[in-house]
Amino acid sequence: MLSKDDIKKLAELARIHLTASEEEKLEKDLSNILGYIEKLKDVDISNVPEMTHATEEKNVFRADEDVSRDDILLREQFPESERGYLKVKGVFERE
Amino acid sequence: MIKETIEKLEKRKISARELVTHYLDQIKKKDPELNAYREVFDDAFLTAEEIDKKIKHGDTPRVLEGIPFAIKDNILIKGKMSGASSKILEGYTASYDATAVKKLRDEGAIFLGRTNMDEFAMGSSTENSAYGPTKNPADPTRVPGGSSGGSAAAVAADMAVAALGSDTGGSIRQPAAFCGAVGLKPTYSTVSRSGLIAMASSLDQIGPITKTVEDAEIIFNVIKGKDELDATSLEVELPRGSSTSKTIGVPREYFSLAEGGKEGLDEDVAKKFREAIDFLKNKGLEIKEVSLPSVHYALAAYYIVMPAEVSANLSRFDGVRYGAREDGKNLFDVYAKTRERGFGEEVRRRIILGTYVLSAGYYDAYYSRAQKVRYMIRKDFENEFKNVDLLLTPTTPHPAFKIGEKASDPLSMYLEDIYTVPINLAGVPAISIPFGSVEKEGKNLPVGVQFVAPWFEESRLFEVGKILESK
Repeated sequence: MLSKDDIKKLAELARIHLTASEEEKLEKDLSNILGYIEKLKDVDISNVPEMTHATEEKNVFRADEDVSRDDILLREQFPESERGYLKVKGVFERE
Repeated sequence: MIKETIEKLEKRKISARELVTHYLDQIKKKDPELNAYREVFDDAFLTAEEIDKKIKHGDTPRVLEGIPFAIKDNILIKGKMSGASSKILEGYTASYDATAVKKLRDEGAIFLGRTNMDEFAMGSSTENSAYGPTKNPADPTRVPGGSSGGSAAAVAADMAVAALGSDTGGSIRQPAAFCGAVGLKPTYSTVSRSGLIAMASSLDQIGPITKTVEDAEIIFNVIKGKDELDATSLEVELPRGSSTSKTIGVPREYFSLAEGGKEGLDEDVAKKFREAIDFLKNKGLEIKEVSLPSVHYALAAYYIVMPAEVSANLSRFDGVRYGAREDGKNLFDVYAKTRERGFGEEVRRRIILGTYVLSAGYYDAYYSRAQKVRYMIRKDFENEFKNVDLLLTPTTPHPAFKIGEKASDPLSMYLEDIYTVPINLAGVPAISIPFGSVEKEGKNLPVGVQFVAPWFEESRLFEVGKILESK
């Protein structure tokens, strides 16, 4: 049902590197799972709305004020930092 | 159990320090084999001493004063490590309390440690933990269920008075049934999800795993309530006092939910279930056969909705802000390698599946269709709750299975949740209550039965649960 190219593309979209043997295993596993899910095609869903919330759906508003919490512990979690700032690799690479 | 313990505490027949000592001793004795705890905290005695001082001073004990808790590893405790049993969060320390944890703390609870689970709550056996499986206290060659397997094993083996777990498709009720504990999945939106490491946000709920129904009720009443940190949480006036349920429906579909001949109801479990029905009949409750025709499709709809939400929720784990980070030649490479090494096999499988069902061109065929089927399932529950006060089903199709038995076939592991998943899709509350045991290979394995109530009618679960428990 899924090709190896599909798996490669999905892994790229999901930002997960996969080895060749993992790609093969996933191709098999996902095809099995999707085969099971196929049974939903038997259900007559004409005129049925989508359920988007289990109980009640309501907008929640609050005043536009700073509600940030104590951030010392938060900063301590940074895998890499410089002068208190979170450090990451550049999005664009230099020529 | 909680009430009696607090009475003893108040009458100074026991101290909080003695309580903590008892449970830490139990952990020391049993946990090397069971592996229910990922970490035992070193500051439980400090909290106990403060509590003992207050009681000595004559303060009235709070609702959970001095009660030792185990907390699932995906529920944050400020200043403690929290990892959802995943390598990707290795070294992560929580910078705030989950709202449910804060509420327990405010009522005097003591946290003994954090418990093992399937990685990011994805699994039904705790075998997907990156830190080794937890074993079932009733038979250590078997799984405790999952994903809250550590919490259930801790309570069942008397390594805590009570525990918090989380339930997305059965992760509180199934391990409670396998280990012989009480497990409550509250109505969606009654307990704040703030500080729960998200798996599938439209299904996740925090709930208690306990030794008695009364304890589950006490803890539920502490942790429920609207929270501005969770926009889906609601303030609900739960009906008080006696709810006087008279009729209980048994959905006939639950006996034919066999999938490819794999997951029919085990004969011994069916026998126990019929015993439970007879017992309730003798207590004056009327048992009716009811029908939930769409539950046949519940698990298939779940395996679209859940991975879709997983793929979105877990995109935050990319090695940038917290947890483990792998080095790479550019930013994309950092993401892809961090997520390759940090996530286990099942987590990657669900993220990729979720990415697929949400990708352009497939929305109508998968996600939209699943959400419509979900609507039909909720309608089924709505319809039958016009005829009966509660529903009754087995919690699981069979007792605890052997470690390794289902590990190589993802689909057969998914089928584990066939009796519990419809409840999460509909958002209704349900409780699993131990009802004796069945003998398999010379071991007595616990069996659970599940009561399901309409939205916000948890009090009905507690009332009838106490009746069943009295056996």
